[in-house]
Amino acid sequence: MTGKGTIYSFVIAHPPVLPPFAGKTPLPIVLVQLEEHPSLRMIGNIVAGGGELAIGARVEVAFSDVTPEVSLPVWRILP
Amino acid sequence: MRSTGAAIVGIGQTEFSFNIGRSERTIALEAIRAALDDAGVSPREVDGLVRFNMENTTEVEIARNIGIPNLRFFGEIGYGGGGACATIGHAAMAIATGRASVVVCWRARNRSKAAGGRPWEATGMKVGGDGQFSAPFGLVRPVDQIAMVARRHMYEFGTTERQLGAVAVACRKHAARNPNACKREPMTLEDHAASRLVSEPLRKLDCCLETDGALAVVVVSAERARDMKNRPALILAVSQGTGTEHVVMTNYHGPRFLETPSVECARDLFAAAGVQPKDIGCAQFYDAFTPLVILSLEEYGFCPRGEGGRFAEGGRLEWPDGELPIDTSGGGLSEAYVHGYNLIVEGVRQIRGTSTAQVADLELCLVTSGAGVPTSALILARA
Repeated sequence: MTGKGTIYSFVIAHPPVLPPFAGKTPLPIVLVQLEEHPSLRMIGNIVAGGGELAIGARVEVAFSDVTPEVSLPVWRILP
Repeated sequence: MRSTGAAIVGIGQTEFSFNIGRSERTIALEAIRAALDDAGVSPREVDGLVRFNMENTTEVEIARNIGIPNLRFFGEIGYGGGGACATIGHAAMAIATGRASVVVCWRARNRSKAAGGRPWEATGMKVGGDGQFSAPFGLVRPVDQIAMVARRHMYEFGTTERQLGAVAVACRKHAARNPNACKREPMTLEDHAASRLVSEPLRKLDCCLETDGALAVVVVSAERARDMKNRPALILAVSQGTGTEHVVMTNYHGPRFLETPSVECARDLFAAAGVQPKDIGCAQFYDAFTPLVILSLEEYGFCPRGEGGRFAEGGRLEWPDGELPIDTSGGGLSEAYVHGYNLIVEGVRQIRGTSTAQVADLELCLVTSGAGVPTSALILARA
């Protein structure tokens, strides 16, 4: 797996949200279709500073360390 | 045209309210007693109870409090709002197989924090099951899950926010005629477009109300129904369905992202009833969010895939002149949100001829339950 994919759909969440997300709204949440396995889609967040958020935008995986034990995949929108 | 051999002969409900101030048990009992009175049946004749898993009141507390001496059939349907119509289906099957003769199905909801509040608000810091792949990223609320589908539907088919608004406006117009509806003040497409964003592309007025209230129905055999005081609503067919790749509220994986379990449910429903979508004069579509109505129009066969948005335009969903009046009591969007049970009761009123937005000469009414989750639906007919 190359860690690349395309945005298949997305939402932008506004309040009310759960407390851990309260400071992060408006929060984009994307559904990423993986390049090597188009029928498998992953829900995730995007890294700030990438390209424009849109269906069809190309993305690349990165990892965000939430705790010393837990890392979550996040997506950088390619320019 | 075929039938399950069972009919709904009693309906009852409490008022709907944003703060009803009584326990779920109290309002459940009020609605059940009202439905039995409406049917002209004594609680002592009830021998079956069916509930769905959104329901917090239990069979034993209902039996104890209304005085059921011999409760011999009871069951619970899963999958939240998807299970509403299935309760009627299980009641009809119990009657057809001789396991029960008078079955009551009900739903009572008090949304207050004391009673548990919204289910998504109870999400903890550790999430297992299917939710572990969505909740850590903030995709928690039902509205977020349906917004994900709505965005893709817009992308593939050109569905617009204005078309979603047309669904909300139709429901509000019907609620305005219904004295029991919680939201009756006029709403325009502009009001919809100006309402606050909740989960883009969805706005507040794309979302159902959060209300309290209880409803109940009484089901008996069609044969017995002939001798009872109300015009019976014959239950032609009830179906349940689930998708093959289903995760939470959406087919996230595979080629069927935009299809909900209503596809399977609709296929079985019309086959079992021996009727076609064109025979349906009125539909009570589950409307927790406006895009669910757009999808249901497509999946229950009222228009081709992708054309649900266009179907919603131009007043085609509005009573009295629309081609397919929907949610004629105002639905979840404007009457009350009780996980679709008000849609079943309104379907019965349409068959009886007592709706506040009564469709003239109605023969068949479709009622659907939560689209997006494993679901159920039924068709009611004039006996």
